[in-house]
Amino acid sequence: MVKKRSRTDIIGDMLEVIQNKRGEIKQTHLMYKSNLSYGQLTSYLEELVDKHFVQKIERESNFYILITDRGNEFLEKFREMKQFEKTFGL
Amino acid sequence: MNILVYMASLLYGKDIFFDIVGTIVLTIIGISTLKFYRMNPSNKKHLYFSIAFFLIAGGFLFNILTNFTIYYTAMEVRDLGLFKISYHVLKESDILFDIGFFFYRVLMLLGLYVLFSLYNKKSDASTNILIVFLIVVLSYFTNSADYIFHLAVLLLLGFITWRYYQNYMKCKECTAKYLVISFAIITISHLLFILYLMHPAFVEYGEIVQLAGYLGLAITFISVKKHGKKKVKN
Repeated sequence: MVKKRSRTDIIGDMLEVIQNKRGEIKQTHLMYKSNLSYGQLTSYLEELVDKHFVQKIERESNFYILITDRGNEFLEKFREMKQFEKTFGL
Repeated sequence: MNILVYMASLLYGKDIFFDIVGTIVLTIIGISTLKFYRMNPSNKKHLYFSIAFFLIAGGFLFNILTNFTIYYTAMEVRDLGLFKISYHVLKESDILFDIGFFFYRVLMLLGLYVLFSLYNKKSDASTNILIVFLIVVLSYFTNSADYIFHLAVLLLLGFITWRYYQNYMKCKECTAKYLVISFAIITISHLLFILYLMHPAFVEYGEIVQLAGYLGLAITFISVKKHGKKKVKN
């Protein structure tokens, strides 16, 4: 059975997706790649913008999401945590 | 008590340095895990894990203080040379030694039990209370039978190492392999402490092996930290 993702897991996955797209992704692509509904995406994006992990910009009538330095730092810590959980079986 | 008095003459304070290394490694891992818990409060395992590591580190701290008492007392006796005064100093040290060593045992066993419980979901509240009681009783009554304490630690560490081995077989991560090796080395060190009954030199070997185990744990943790810098492709 697949384990339900926690809020931190979803935030980590979203940042991972953005970073893999060279730090910039279209909002709709982020929604599909992170396996989220539009409502969920909006809620999470609000949190990410509030925490200064991402920036939302409008370009050629499309919304783009950009990862910030703070977002990159969080992602590094998130990866560490995931590896720690794998190593210690937590 | 005999085991530490022997160590005092054999290692001449090096064991204090070994224990300091262990305390630092355990505290750093404990602090990092607490940070992970703050990052993801839904995973309570991080919190219990950090508590376990802080308890063991606290145990080591008491062991260091106890060892300092031994070395300090030995110097006092040599300097004064009067039978009456030296006797008094030794008596005072005995009390400090007993208290310090009692806390070392309790904290070490409690920490290992918390760690063991993380991987053993079957324990309930009543079992936990009973185990804590037994740990306190065991720690109090093993002052003259050190090997019983080390046997209890050996069993707990053995079970935990086995769990880590099962986890490694499942995930096949190299950091998990380092962890199994580190814990196996620490487990062996306690086996050597028990073998003190056969020859006192085993205490010295045990201390050195234990240091190697904690250094291995430090390497494991550094490898986990390095992994944070690697990008994951999805």
